[in-house]
Amino acid sequence: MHMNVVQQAIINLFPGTDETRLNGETQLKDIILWDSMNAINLVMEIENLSGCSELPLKYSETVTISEIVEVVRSKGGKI
Amino acid sequence: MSMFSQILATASYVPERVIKNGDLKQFPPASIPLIHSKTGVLERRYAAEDQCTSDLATEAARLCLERAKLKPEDLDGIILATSSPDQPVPATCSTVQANLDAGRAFAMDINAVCTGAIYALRVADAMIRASQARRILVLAAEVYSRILNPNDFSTCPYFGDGAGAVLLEGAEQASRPHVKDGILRSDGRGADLIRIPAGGSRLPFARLSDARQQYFQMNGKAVFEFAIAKGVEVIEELCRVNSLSKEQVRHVVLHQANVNILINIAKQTGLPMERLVVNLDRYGNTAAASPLIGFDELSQGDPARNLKGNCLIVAFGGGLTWGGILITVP
Repeated sequence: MHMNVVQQAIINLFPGTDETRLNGETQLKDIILWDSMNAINLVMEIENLSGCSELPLKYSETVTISEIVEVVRSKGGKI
Repeated sequence: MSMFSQILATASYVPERVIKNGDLKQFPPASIPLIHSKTGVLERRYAAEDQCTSDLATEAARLCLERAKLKPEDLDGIILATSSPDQPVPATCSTVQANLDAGRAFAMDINAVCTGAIYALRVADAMIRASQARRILVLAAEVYSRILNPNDFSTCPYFGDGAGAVLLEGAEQASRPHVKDGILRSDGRGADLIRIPAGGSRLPFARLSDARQQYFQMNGKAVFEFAIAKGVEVIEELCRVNSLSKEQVRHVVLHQANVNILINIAKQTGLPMERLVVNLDRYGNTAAASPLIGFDELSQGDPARNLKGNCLIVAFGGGLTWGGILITVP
């Protein structure tokens, strides 16, 4: 299964995440271990994988993976 | 004849090196204000390169003995609560005993993570009440700066290093502040919520495949809810069993996990915030050490002089474990 950088970042950060249930519609609140502190870890991991910096740090828990992918794309990051 | 564990002195020690939130340069600058708003922590102390847990414990122990005007050879036992020991074997308390030259004292570690000091106080109190020992020095010391993943924003900003001490002595008359009651609880089904996966027999370092497994990990959301529920439960139970109204509880030393946990516990128990010790803005979460550092700040080394009425010391942490001690000042 090809994963985008956001999916890969989630897999890297949160062991135990079921890859098969991660899709574009998955919301941040659906991720095991998701909380406002881990949100920063996720942004740092996405920046690391995508090569783009200064991504927004705050996301609503209902934001989807697809929406974050679009943010990374708009910043010129590798998807 | 009933015995009481009276408190002769308290002490604490924090390393000199101050790490402010802004010093955590590994995190994005825009994330730094979140540390205070989400945790209440402004700064924490980190041990010097040549300091380890036994060194911090020894500093607190020496000050406690000095305040009690006792010598190391006057001790029958030393119990050290820690979840960041010098090494897996032997117990860190053995090194403290040697540092102090307390040759008569037994020495043992207790690991109940952030509840460790409560467990240590309860065990010491039970031994004194059973006349198995007369004077026991209870210590709690942590150097979490060595077990944290420096790049994990969900754990690193919370914690700091430090040590606390309480010296208990058996007495037939309760003429000084003494341990009136206590509660210890555990639920091992939550063991995975707070852990360091590697370094033991389950996952030796030699088999490590993911470097992050050598570091402290925490399920922040679940722990937040657990801490509030159990903090409230312990306070209510100690009050109920000892027929204390909330007005009769003059001081509350809660484990300094997160200021939002403290606020929620105060709100749910009806205890005014001004009766709570709050020092995590200066020290962060010092795990097992935090209740004893807080108790020492409250009693300024001498509970007989500086405490009045009833004081609850309550903690919750990995294991899962939770518990509380009721100190009464005659």
